[in-house]
Amino acid sequence: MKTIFNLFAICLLLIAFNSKIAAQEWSNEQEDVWKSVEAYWDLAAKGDLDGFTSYFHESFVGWNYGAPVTSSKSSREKLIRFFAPQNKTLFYTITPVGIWVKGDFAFVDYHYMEVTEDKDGKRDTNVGRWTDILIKDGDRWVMIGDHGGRTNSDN
Amino acid sequence: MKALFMSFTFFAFVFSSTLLFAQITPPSVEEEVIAITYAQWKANMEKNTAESNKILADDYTEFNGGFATRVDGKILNSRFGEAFDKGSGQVIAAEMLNPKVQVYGDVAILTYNYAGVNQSKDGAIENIKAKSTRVYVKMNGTWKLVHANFGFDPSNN
Repeated sequence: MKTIFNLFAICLLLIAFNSKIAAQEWSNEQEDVWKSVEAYWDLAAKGDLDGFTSYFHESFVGWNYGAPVTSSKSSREKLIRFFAPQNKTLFYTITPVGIWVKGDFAFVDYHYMEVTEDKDGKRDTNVGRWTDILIKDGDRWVMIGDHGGRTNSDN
Repeated sequence: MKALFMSFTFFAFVFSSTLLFAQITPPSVEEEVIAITYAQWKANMEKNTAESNKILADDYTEFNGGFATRVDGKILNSRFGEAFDKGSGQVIAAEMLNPKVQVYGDVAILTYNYAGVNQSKDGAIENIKAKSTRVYVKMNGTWKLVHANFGFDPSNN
């Protein structure tokens, strides 16, 4: 019962937060950066791991809150290819709190909420935040770094 | 004898050139951003908030383990810094482990494991572990911190 109440509270907070963010206006260049973030989240949610990992630059250095040390592109890819097929994303929202752009360089801070289901049908609601650091690569933005992850405890 | 003198002259020249080179070689970007981070920590240890905040850009933003949402702006972050400095505890060691610096022109990303030691007013010692990502941008010839993400080390849990 407590878990259901907590999830309900989190959802209400996210909806309130989304409404506030929706009122925020982004410049064209900020929207362009955000489009790439939405694109790779969509690829990850669909299970298109080739598409998703193509958004990691060769020089990528990333940090998940749960990891003691940073990961390179290859080590992150290894983790993604092992863990992602074990869960299916049923639903997610990503909400930007800041998009900073300077020329071909940008970073985005955002909160996320994701509901996943494992092979046994067990659902998990994962809430967290990320800083994604991006560089322009042709007509899209790719990650040169990230830092974040889950902030609620495992259910 | 002449050969010995020539050899001595040659080695003296090489040695002095090496010294001269070492003196005039500017620090690399990697060295610069690590040095200004240590300088900020030194100011923190001295509870000198103004000096500590010198490296912050006006539009500095921060994710940290203390708050669920982002802390925006140099002014707001400085207020938290000042409040923290009013505590009776003291940072007595601040070190950077496994530092990595990625450089993209006027942008540098510094990641590291923070290892510090705090001392309470009654002398108790506490190890502080964290994981940090800092984004520096060169503005008017000076490296400024535009964003940081400070997370607790998972072994704290």
